[in-house]
Amino acid sequence: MKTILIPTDFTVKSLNVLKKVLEDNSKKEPLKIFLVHGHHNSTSITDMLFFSKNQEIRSLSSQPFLDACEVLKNKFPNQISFLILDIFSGYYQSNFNDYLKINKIDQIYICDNIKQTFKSKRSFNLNPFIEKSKFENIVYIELDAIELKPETGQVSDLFINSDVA
Amino acid sequence: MKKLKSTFLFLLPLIVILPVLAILIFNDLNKFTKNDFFNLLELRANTIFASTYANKISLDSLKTSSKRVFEKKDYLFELEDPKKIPKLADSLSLNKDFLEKVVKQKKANYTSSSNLYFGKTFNVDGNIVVVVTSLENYFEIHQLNYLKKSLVFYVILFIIILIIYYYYYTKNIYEPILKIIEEVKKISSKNLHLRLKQDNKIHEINQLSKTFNNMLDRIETSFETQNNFISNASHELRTPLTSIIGTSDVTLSKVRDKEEYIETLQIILEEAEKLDNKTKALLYLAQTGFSGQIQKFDKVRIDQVIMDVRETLLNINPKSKISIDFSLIPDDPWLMKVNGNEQLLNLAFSNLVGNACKYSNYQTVTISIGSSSKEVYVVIKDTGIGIPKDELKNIYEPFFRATNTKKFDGYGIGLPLVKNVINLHKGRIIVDSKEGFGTTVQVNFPVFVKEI
Repeated sequence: MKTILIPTDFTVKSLNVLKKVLEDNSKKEPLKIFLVHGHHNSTSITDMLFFSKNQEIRSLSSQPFLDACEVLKNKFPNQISFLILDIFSGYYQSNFNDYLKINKIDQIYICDNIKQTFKSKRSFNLNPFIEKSKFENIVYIELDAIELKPETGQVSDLFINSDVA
Repeated sequence: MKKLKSTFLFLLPLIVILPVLAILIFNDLNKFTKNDFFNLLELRANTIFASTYANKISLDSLKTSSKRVFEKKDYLFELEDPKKIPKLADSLSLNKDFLEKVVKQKKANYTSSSNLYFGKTFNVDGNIVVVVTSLENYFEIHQLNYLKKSLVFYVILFIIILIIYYYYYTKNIYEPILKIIEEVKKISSKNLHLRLKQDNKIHEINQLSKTFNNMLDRIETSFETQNNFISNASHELRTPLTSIIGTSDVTLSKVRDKEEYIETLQIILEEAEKLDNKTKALLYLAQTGFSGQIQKFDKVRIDQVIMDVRETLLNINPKSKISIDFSLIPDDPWLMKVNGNEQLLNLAFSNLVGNACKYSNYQTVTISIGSSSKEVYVVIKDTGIGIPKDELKNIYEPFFRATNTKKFDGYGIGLPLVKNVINLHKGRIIVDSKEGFGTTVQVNFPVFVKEI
């Protein structure tokens, strides 16, 4: 099974990259998908004591984001074997390279023309890490209509590209 | 003032308990120490007797311990004649009732104001030997006395504190609440504008008044909306009627030719149809607004509804351009089934899509459908005139028309109707719009759950 990684800022808009990947996946092979968010952990003692990654992800993302993931899962049930939301909190390039190795990532998809909006000040963009990682299999996705529409934070952000029926 | 008695009753047990507690503690300690000392005295008596008659008596009743004893005065004598007890008592300055008790019961104790006495009789070869040991009542005189004074002082102090607290409580908490009750009693449907004062020192009482006032605001607003609705509805219905009456009046004022009569009748027909539409829409609005009316609810496929809506609208106005986006439609049809009434859903979506077409001058409108397993999403996008940001909150008000809709026809009843239908289906509607660019309407419905 192919394992892919897509960086995300946990907004519904960013899921359009995944949507495009799944639409273009002509071989319809099952995928293990890592949606990774760059976020440095808090350094206060209480936060470190009671840290829970699931809770962190839930607070950084939103209910519409999780609902939008479900919409994608229902549309492409054969292609999505695993949809994993994860946080990368390392500081150095070697940390990121190790992350790719540990999770056995086969391919990375990134989109340059989408503007990343982060809810938390400790979140950061993963694109520089990806580009400097010298990973052989990086695919660039182009999404054109996306800049015009402002982010509403609702599931409707997922329905941006309209195919005429 | 009578009501304040109940809070005083609440305090009463506390005021009674404190002295009772103090008395119990004092008595317990008193008894305990006395017992302790009498045990000590008995020990001493045994020791004295044993040491005096060491050779003759067995020492089985002797116990050993070491305790500090103050100012001891001990007596040991043989009793020949029981009648001589009172004289003996006087000569030894002992209490005679105490002595008699000792002889009768073989063991007795006695407390005077300054001393503790313990007496015991022993049998020696048929003669009665009496041993009396005594101890100065130091502990009682000093410690227990002090404890007594101390307890009394503290009990009185705390009772005073409780009474002060009682006054504070009634004045600052109970009374303001009573006042609020009095004020709220005055508010009725005729004077909904009354509000409670929010100037109390205590934050929580202020919060109470504030919450009440907020609730009154909401009630007043909904009252006004209802009143407005009625006046708006009658005004809306009268407008076409006025037109009909006016046109007919003018036409009948003198004899006219055939064309004029035909023209007048056409105007009357148009206005009557408008009136008919408005009345129908109002009726639907009223029907869907009442939650008491039970509509027939069954499994409805949302994608089917959307297709039907598209057909209907294309029939009414062939200029409409409606495209359906299948990019996220799930394969499983059950994920698009909703528990609802097909006619009402048809009505709601016709309204929404119809609006999208109308206000974009029949440019392309996109309808997308998707489903997370809990909710079905229908997104209707248009590139029309949009809704001004500050008017977005008013769009569901009956008869409301945004300021940029002057060039377009409409009664302002469609969206309130849609909102009612969606609420009936336990769904949600979210409208996002940018003036001049377009509007996106997202409608969520809970997915039909198969009951096993």
